[in-house]
Amino acid sequence: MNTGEVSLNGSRFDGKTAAREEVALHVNNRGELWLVRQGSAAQCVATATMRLTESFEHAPLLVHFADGSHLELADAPAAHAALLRAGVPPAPHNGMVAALARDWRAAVLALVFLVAAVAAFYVWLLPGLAQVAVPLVPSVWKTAIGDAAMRQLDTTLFTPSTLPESQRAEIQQRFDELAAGERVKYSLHFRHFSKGPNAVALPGNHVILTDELVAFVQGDVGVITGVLAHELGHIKHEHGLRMVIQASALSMLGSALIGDYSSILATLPAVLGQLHYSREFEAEADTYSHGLLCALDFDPAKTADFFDQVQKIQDAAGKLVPSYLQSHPDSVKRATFFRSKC
Amino acid sequence: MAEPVLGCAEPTLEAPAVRVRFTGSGAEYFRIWSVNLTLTILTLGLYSAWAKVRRLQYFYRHTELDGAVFDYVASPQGILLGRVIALVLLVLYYVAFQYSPQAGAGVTALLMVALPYLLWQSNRFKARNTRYRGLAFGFDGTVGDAYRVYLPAIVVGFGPTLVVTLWHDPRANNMVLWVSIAAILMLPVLHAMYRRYVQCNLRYGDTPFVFSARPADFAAVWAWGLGAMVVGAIGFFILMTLVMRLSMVIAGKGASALIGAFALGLLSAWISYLLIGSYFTARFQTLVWERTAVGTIGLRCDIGAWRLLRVQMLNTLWVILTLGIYRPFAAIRLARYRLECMTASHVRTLDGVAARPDDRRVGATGEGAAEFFDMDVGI
Repeated sequence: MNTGEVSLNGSRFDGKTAAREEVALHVNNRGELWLVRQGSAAQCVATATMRLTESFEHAPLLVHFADGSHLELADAPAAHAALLRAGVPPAPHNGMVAALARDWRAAVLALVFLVAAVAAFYVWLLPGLAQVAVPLVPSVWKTAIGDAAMRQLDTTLFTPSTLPESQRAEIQQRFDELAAGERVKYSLHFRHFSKGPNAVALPGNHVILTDELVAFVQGDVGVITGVLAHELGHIKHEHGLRMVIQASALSMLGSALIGDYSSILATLPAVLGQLHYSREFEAEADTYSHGLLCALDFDPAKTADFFDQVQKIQDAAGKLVPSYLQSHPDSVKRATFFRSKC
Repeated sequence: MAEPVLGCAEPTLEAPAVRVRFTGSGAEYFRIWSVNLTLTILTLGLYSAWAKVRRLQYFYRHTELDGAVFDYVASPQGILLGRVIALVLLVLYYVAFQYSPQAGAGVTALLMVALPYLLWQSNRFKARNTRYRGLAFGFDGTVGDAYRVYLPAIVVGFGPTLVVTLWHDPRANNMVLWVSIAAILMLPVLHAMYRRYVQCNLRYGDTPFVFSARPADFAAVWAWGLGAMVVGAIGFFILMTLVMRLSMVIAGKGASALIGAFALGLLSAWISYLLIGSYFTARFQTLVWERTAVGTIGLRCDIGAWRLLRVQMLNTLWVILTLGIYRPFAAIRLARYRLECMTASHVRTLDGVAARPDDRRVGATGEGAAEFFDMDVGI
């Protein structure tokens, strides 16, 4: 190979001591390599004894020799090109990866792919994966998770219900009617909750209804039917478990992408993502509820009245939270949905 | 020395004269980062080990001290093995607790026994795969000492979980509170013990590191940092109360006052989080490296918590504004600041340092993996 003479300056380290030696590596016009060391004659080096490493723009090029010594050559890109021309074998691994990284187009393309991959993961793959994973969870675990959650809620948030026995029996009867078509047993729990009206569905087929919600709808069983049907929707679609799986996958992704930079930032996608998925789950449960009410000849419009009332309270409080930070969809939209024909 | 874990002799040092230079560029690292990330995703995480090697190689080779650069020569396979083991342990830990408290306690105990060994392994791996001037660093700490140093930290860290899961007694909660307070009080001592164990057992070639920081020095940094946190929390509370009152007077009782207070609260919480983080990073970097000597080489570190805070804040802002694209640039900027604040004595005084004969096997081919588990644990 005839490419003209090049002289590459750098340092040599023998691998036995930390001493540094200023040297030059000459590539002559016959493609031979000569190592020029101070105070000794130039030695010809065989290209086969040399091993190149990845070249970077602003770092010296590291060239390893079979005897354990190595050179650190200034101006890595030029040195790398000259040595390759002289026939030194390229770095054994990641030569292709290194080439990719040197190319701006590849980097930009990679980035576009990355954004698309993250978006696809979030929109399709994660919910899909969670749906696939949920049936794989043994029912013993589901029961265990639900029971544990129930115990925890009972010790931290809830106190026993103070509803009259007759009212509870009435609601329980309606609940049994709604769940009659199911093969597994669903349990309804009445609880007192000082923070206000709420209904919760847990894995392991638990539905919790707070006294405050019953009071909020003035004990109207027609409205409570809609709420219970909605919670049954959550259980039917295994939303509790899917949420756990999706949230942990999201926080894993978050920390994989930006975790080594800031742990607080890393949790952000998981939190926001959870809220979004939760809105999707609510919509899914609403659809289930609407269908179930229609099938059993209950009036879904009753539920719409409930959302009108919720909306009034929200209006009174002022619209505090933008919809992106909300775990439930807009009440007006939900009311309209429940007014739709069976 | 009576205590092998804590003892290090004071050396006579040469004055620091050369500054560390970091020559990495954000634009170049950006391309490496994006290719790394893409390949990692395409291979469902398998490439992450190779990505780590490339990332560290990029940072090490751009770190120059006295005319020579550092290098990282780890085998990705070792890192992959470590990551798989760490992942399995983590999944076991999560799953076991969902299964039954007893299973959870069992896995916790397993983790407690395994962690010191894995951390010891990780220290060795990191040291011997770091090279400078053709010589490898080394870590000569013993497994026994690893257990002696890590065990108190791990018992304090995992103990409360075990107590809560095994005894549902309400008195256990009380005990957890006391153990947690004890843990916070013990933190400086545990931290100092761990650092001494690492720094005193490191060597460059055949020259051991000497570490002279005392537990009291660590305790002082912790006291200032935690004290500032308490004062900050009180100040934050007062500020928030004032803002709420003020905005209610101006905007009336309603949403905008709450949103304003919420935004301000978030902002000041974020800044104080970064500030405390910067303070600890800066002070501990100074404490650890200024009290570390390699042979007769002394180090000086003039990192400032406020300047570090500025770097971190700008980085975070840009990362948010660019939706993450700035991250590789941020990493370079942070590395430049943290590395270029280091000064060392002339390394030529180390010319006599020789390689340990057994180090030379850990060469190009990687046949130096004397142990089966030559791996790095990190998630």
